[in-house]
Amino acid sequence: MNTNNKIFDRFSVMIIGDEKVGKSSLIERYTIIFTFKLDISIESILTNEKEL
Amino acid sequence: MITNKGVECFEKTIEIDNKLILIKIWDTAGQEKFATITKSYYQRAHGIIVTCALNNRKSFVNLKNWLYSIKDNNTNDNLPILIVVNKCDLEETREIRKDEVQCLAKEWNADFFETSAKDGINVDEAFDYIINKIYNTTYKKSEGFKIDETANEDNQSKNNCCK
Repeated sequence: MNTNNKIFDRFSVMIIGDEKVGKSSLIERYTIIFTFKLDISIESILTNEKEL
Repeated sequence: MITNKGVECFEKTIEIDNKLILIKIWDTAGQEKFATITKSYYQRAHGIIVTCALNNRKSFVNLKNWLYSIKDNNTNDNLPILIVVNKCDLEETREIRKDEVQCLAKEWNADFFETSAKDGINVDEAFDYIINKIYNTTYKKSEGFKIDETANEDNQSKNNCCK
């Protein structure tokens, strides 16, 4: 990995097409490195904390 | 489903040949009312992804219009173009044959991928493909693109909207 952290250059990529074909979703999928969903409610966290 | 209201920009930094390259991805609205705004961005693009949906015949028919609008608004004859047929997870409702996409891609000297943003199929591959094509064709021939200094200010950011 390049360690000096300097951007060497910049590419511009456009995404076009009809609406509702998923352009934004494609970008989202490509640019978001990592996503996760926490399926835990605040109540259950508080309950567990009390039990502990 | 996210609906775009004009043009939005997203960024991702990648490394090619030990060089950090900032990829700016311009997300455009598909609606006709934004066509003038969208077209004004064509000339600045180093590569364009033209998208349709596997289960939407009309979006495929319109691909030609999008391709012609690139031709009319970008003076680079060697502009890398990639056709992406999205929603390949909906195979059972397919309205576009692979061979007709292949034929269109050949006609426009483009390549094509079938992707699914929902399931993450071929998405990275499609973007990596066009980025590598930009790098290996236009970029190397032009010995680099002009970069503005502001590009370095947010080189750490990923998925930053800069509209």
